[in-house]
Amino acid sequence: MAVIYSAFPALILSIALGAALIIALFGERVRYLNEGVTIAAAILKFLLVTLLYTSVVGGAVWLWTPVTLLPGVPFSLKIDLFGIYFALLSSFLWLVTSVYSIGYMRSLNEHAQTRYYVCFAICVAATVGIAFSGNLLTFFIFYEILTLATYPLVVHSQTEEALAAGRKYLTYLLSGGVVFLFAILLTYTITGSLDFVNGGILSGSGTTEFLRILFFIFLIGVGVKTAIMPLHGWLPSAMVAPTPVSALLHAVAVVKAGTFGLLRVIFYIFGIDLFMEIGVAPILAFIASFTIITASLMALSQDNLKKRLAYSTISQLSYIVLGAALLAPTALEGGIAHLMHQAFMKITLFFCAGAILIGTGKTLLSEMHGMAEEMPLTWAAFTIGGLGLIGIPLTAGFITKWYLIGGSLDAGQPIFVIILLTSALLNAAYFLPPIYHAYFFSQEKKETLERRVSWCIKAPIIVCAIIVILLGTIPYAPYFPLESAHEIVRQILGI
Amino acid sequence: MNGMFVHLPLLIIMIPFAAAFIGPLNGFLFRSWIRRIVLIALSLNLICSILLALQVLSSGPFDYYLSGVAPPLGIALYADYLGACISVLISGIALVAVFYSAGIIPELGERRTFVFYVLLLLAIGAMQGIVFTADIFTLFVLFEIQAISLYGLVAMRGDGKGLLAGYKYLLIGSAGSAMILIGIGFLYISTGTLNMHLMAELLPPVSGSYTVLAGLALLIAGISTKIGLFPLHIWMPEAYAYGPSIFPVISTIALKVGVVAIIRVVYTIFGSSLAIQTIPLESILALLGAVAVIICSILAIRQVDIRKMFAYSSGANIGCIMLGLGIATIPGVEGAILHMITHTTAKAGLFLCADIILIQTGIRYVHEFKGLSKAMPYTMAAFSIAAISMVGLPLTGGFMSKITIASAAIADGITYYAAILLFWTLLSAVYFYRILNNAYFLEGTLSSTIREAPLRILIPIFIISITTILLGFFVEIPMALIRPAAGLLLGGGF
Repeated sequence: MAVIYSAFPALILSIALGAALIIALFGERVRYLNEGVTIAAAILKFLLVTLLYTSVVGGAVWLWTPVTLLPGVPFSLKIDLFGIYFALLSSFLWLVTSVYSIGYMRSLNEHAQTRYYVCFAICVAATVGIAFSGNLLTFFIFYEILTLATYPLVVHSQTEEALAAGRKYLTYLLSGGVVFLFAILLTYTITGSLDFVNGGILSGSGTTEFLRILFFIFLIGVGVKTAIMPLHGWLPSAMVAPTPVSALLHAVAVVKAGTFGLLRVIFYIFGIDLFMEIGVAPILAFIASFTIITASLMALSQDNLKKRLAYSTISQLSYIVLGAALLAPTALEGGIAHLMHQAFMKITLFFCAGAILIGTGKTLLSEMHGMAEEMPLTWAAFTIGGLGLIGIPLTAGFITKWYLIGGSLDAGQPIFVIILLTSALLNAAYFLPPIYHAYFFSQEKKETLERRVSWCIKAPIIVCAIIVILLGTIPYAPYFPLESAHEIVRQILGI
Repeated sequence: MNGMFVHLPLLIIMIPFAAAFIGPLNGFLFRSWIRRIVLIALSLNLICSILLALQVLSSGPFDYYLSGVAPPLGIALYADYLGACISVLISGIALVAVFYSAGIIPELGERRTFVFYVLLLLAIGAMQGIVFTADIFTLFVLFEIQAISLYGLVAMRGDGKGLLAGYKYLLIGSAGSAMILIGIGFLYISTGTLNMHLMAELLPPVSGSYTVLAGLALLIAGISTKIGLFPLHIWMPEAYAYGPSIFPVISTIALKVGVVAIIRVVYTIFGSSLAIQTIPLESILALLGAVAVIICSILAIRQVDIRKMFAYSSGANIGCIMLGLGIATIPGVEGAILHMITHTTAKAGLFLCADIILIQTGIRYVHEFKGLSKAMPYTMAAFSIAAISMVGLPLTGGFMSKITIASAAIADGITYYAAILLFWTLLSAVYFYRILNNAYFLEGTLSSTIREAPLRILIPIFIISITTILLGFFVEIPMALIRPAAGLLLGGGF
């Protein structure tokens, strides 16, 4: 593996940060600057990340360590395949969401747009920073920046409800951050290092009991962002944020940063062997299963579309955790691929929720009966996303569930097959009725309202829905998630 | 060693003192010159401090005997890593603060502004002396000079609250000074010397005696009043709230200077004899520190006046520093010294912002901050950066020093102290959250005449903000001085 020492990763980070700075300084004064700079930065960043991706797939590892923070722990940007995989996801979805944001913010004529675009850019920079972190401390730095930069987006509307949600958000995430930091410092003290190393750095240090406790401290720390139950409370409340924020940050960037962190901790700090040895995997699998089922049950009772999607997100995130906890290569592959597949499905659904809000002003599912006639395109996309999350064949969700089920059989734990199938049924129970009502409950002929929705909003929806189909029909195409997931698992397991 | 560099320690102390006396001499004729004199003196002082730091870094610590008379007869200054490091901090922060308070301080008027600067110079000179002196009686004298200047500064506004705050400070400070003096007396009786290094050599045989132990206790208690260690912090809230203009910044430095004195007593004088002691002084310090961290933070949450809030926050941070010192391992002391630097920087930033906000808008209570970010965006940006550092979130100096201390605590096996330090992050997040949330996300009823601070004011504030952020990244730069300082303190005392 060739290691390329270069500041190029920092350049990619600074694109979004630079955009944030320019918008912050001049956004209020220059018209269209917010949108223009955001789109330009998103395109530039996506191109550079793609460029890096091709290099990393070729076997290169990029590294940049400008300063030492603690003895033995530099500020380290390191791009391996897993990192670039996550960065590619976030930078592509940033581009899509930027287009969507423009349509959304203009249609609703939202206030404080400059602040919105600034924070959005900082969030995306932090997400890429998380992807590129070479050690836990660097990871933590970006993790906390992400927490802080998301807060203004959550309280964007500045209503009483939004501020309360913001308080809840900060309380959960800062507490989680503190616990995470505690675990990091414990690790640092016993190993003297925090680097992400394939195979882990903790093996041979500390007793099994200590390592188990350490693992659960880590789990609580990153579990808040991963929204594993019972640490999920902030996510449904955070749905008061504007829809693009819910779509990109609370379905992809923030929560997946947690999941990504958990996988990093399991495979690059503990190492797969030690993780197996200390025997926490069954407990993790149990927690994940509990979250999958409970969150799905809670989703059933939500009438607010975005809240239902939020509970669905909580449930889906634990699929990824389960994939890691099953300790079977196939399941892990499925989990890592689900990181990306789920992102596209969920963002499609959130985009649709936003389009419905703009087109008809409705947010409650009970008001959406017969709406498919009013908004045919949106509901078609919603159907694709919903079917995907249920796991119907020919959609992205089917592929990853197939891998997860195969993995649990490989691992000799068929109980999780039952969990996964139950969850699929529950997913069907909360996605199919709205779809059914939307299509078949129209009493009178309605005119289409979709023309109210600008193409800035429709285009991202169409793109994401098509990707969901593509991921489900030709999942093995080159550069698709499964290919990378396969390679990542191969690296993690050292096969 | 170059001949000029030898005199640097004395020069650093004498420049502010000399300026303090030159000020009144020509000041009666050219009163408006005072600020120029202060600026020139402090700039020279900063240059000397940096030169000395470089000198110490390149060729190690050295003694300086006043008039060339060696101890035990003469008075010695000792330029070590710790002294050089804190000396740069004192001159740097004081210079920025004075640079900020250009011209006449509004609440004081021309005449008292003049006195204000003279007292400020005296305090700075005394602080520089405290960090360098190797003679414990000189330490006391300089403490008195510093304290008396600070009492004067607190009461400077001359209104009821200011006078009362100054009087309270005077009472507690004098009690502390008395204890310091008696403590010194006890140690002098037992060892027959006032030089710290000689004392350290002579103490071990007698260190079990009640006289010495009483001396130690009195010294620690006395200095604790100066640094506002809980529960002796009670003078701070009112002094900070009613002291004029940049007084809180100067006081923040003074607290750190007091901590240096504690370090001198605990590590330089008693360092080698404590090893054979039965008194767990270090764990007492750590416990006091941890209690201060928690209680002062809770008290800070209850405050509505931001200056009082920051005063309690200072109390908590002093607790954090004591906790680091109490861990008594090299990383712990390193973290404590680093925290002295990062906290002083961030707190200076907060107080400068709070002062300019008070001047521009009259705001001093948390609930009045509503909507302020629109009226004063740049000031609030600097305020936020300082606040983030105070809370101890990443990319600021406060984060680095906090994790250094916490990881030292874990390494020493006292994990619960690390947990307290990390929990403290949440406590301090609560009170800063209230201010920032008001400023950024709530609509206020501020009058439309409120203007952003002029550029001349913003420059020093930005210098502090940038330093705060740089400390979160380039922590190795101060560490170059701090590492040998901690090594020297723990490895044999001096």
